[in-house]
Amino acid sequence: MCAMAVAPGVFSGWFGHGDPRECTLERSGQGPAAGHPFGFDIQGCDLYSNVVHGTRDSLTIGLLATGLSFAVAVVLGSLAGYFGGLVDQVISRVMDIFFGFPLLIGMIVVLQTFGVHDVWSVSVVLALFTWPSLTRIMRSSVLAVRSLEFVTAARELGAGTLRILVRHVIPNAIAPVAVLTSLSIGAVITAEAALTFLGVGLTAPAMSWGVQLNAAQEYFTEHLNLLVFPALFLSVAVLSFVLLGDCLRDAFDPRSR
Amino acid sequence: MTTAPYARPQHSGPLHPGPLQDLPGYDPGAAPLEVGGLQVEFPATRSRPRADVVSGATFRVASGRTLAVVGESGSGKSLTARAVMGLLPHGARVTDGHARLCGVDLLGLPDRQARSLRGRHIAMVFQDALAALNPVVPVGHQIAEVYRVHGCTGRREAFDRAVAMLARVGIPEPAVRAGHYPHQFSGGMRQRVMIAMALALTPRVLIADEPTTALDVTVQAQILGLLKSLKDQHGLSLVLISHDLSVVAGTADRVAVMYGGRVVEEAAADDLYARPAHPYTRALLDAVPRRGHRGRPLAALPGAPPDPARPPGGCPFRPRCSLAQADCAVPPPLETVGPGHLSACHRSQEVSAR
Amino acid sequence: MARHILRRLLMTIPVVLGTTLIIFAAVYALPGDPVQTLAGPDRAVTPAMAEALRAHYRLDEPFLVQYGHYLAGLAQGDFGIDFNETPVSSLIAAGWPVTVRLALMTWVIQALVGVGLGVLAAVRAGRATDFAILGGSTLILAVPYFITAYVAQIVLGDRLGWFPVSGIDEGWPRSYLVPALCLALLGVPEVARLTRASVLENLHAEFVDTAVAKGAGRLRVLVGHVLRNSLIPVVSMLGLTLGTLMSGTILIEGIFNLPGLGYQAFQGIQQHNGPVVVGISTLLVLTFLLINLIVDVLYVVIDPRIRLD
Repeated sequence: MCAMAVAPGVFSGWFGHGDPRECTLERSGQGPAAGHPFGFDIQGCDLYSNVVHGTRDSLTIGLLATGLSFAVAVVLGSLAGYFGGLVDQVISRVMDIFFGFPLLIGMIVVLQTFGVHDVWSVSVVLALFTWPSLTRIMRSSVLAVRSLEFVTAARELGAGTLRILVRHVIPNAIAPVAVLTSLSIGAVITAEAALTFLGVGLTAPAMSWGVQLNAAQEYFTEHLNLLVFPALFLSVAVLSFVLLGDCLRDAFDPRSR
Repeated sequence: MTTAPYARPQHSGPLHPGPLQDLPGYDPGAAPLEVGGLQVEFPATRSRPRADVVSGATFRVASGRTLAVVGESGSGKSLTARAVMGLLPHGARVTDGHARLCGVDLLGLPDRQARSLRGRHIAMVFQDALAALNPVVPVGHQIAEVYRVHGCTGRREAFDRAVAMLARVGIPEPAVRAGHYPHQFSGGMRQRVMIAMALALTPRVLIADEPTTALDVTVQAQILGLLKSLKDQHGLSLVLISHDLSVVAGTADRVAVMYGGRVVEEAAADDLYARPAHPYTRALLDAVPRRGHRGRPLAALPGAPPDPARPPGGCPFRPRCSLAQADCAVPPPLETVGPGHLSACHRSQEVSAR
Repeated sequence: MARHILRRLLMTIPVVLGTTLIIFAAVYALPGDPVQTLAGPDRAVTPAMAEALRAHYRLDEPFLVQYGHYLAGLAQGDFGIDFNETPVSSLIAAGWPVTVRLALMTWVIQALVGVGLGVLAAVRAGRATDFAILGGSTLILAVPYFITAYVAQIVLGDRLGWFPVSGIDEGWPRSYLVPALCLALLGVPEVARLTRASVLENLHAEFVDTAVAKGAGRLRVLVGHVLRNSLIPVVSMLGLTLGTLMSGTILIEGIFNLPGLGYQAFQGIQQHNGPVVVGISTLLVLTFLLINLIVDVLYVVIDPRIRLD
């Protein structure tokens, strides 16, 4: 069931047909027609292939940004949780500062100052503001695992610090972070759409769902299909990751249900 | 505030006649609490079969007396008490039997009327006072709530009376302590708060479910002493639930021993300790170190209590009983084996003769 | 308790410095000409304009002096000047009443609906109502609220004509109701889920049995004992949702043309008027920090277990 939840999001890229950049202005904003199930956008391009191709950039950003912040979280969270002391203090205070930003606002300010708005730069900015919440969970998870007996045993057997961290602590501490990461992918995809829609996220040559929503925002009232179809794909993708997160949580923690 | 903190509350007599006497079946001469043939079951769910956790509990407590209900965990003693109080856990339900408070069957009452009796004519003290007290409400207000719920007094007077109750259970500086939260009290003091709450309206019957199990031994004795003196002072009937025969030895007038969801023996305390008429009671007594038995090995009872979902059939104690014979496949009824002495065992004469 | 509050207050100071430093550095210290950065690649900046900005932010001086000057300005309510040489603080002065109204209305809806659904789900745990609420909240989480806002605007405003499509001409509350409802969707699922979990945890607590044993009725048990304990974490979460809610005003006020702070920021982005975006964002960040501080202090006040330790 979990696999089914993710499948449409991940694999929809395979169902693309037609060229999203092949457009005829006469068909601007027209409704569904034979071979064009979603109709046409303002430029007269086939909306279906646009939306399907949009999957790639949206998902790439979701996975890339979350992957980055996951990597940062595992490293910093382990360091802060395992070593404590000054390392923990510094990492925790920096996290506090990032927690001081309402999510979208921090991203808006930083993106506002970026010259390039491609998949990479947007992902980096999204990661910049999502790593703290993952790191915090990782830190407390490591803190809990650190004092368990098998870790003490490994230490007393003379295992090196790095070995203990990589072989014993991290594998046992990572489950809660994995759950949150899955939820975070959905949140990042939404945030990208919101930022792009506002006009500070991705720009034209890229083709995320946010870009399509942004381009069409003045025509929604007349052409509802321009809003509904990208939004539908966006929601299904986010829902998939939310459900995946729920599944992971149930799998890791049978107590929660 | 012009409270006289040490003033005795003026309700030593039947100042609160309360709603009891208007209810069907009320009989001033009846036993304060009489439980008969009580059956409680957990209906079958997907993951487990139906289970009879109480199957025919029967006992009565006389006015002004203490009845101890003793048994291992899982014997159904706590669930019996909870059924009487209307506190069965989610899913459990009473399928048969009665629990009469001065003749009024609590189990047959509509919720509204049963509620009007709880806290007023029958009250309960729980094992773990820290869990049983609301952590975010000052204890004085929690006691005062009893008066408020039963519409006895205004807000202000309720609190004053709560302070008086705290004084009565021996809490120093009650006016100050009434404003404190449960986590600010020691274990013994918290249990005193629980008792103050239960006795706020001087109920006829007080059920104390393992009231001292969570406490230090020295504090245990204090709490039991307090319960006993308050019982004598107010003439209430006390049902003392415990897993430990030695704890109730000095307090109980009568003892009912429960096993596998039913009462297997009931007798006056002295009689029961001297001449147990059920092998389970005997086993419990043998497991307690006693004066005069020096040199005798303590006998641990082998095996585990029956799983209520899969009762053994016949006498529930049969699988662990050293005297078990073929006729134990027929469940023995609870019968009189001596003056005021009941036992549910085919071999009761043999047991008491030993 | 006073010590706890003081400590919390002191802990806020480095966070305020850190956040403002990040904002300032992102705008004025990254490589490239800050004035051109603020204007974006498509907007021409007149020399006079550039000069005014340079003078205002003392961009010719060393970075720390710039930052110190900027901080001192913030302390006096100076949020910079925009490309029309209007002080951002005057835009803020014009916009904040709208935003505060929207935010408060949203917050109240969020609290009432979120807590209400959470309690309902917990009381009916495992039954159809519970599944409907849990499923519904997952769906709401999945559909981005700005999409819902557009749909609501088109359906309720444009097609059905029940509510004004945009603007605040019809005043409070009519003009604010639909935007507030859409914005509330952002927090309702989270509040409902936390309330449900928290109530469930306390519903089977032993002190509930004590209350029943006292003879308390269902309502009294639920409100006086279960909720009184369950709402402590919820209050804290409700405070924190104010932060997400403030970011949300940018999109919602933009979509519904409510002339508040969020709308100003929205317009600032659309018109490449960088200083407005930065100035308003800074104000929103500072407000968020203040709210967090208040929530933390409040948490200590309402939970005696922390207060008295």
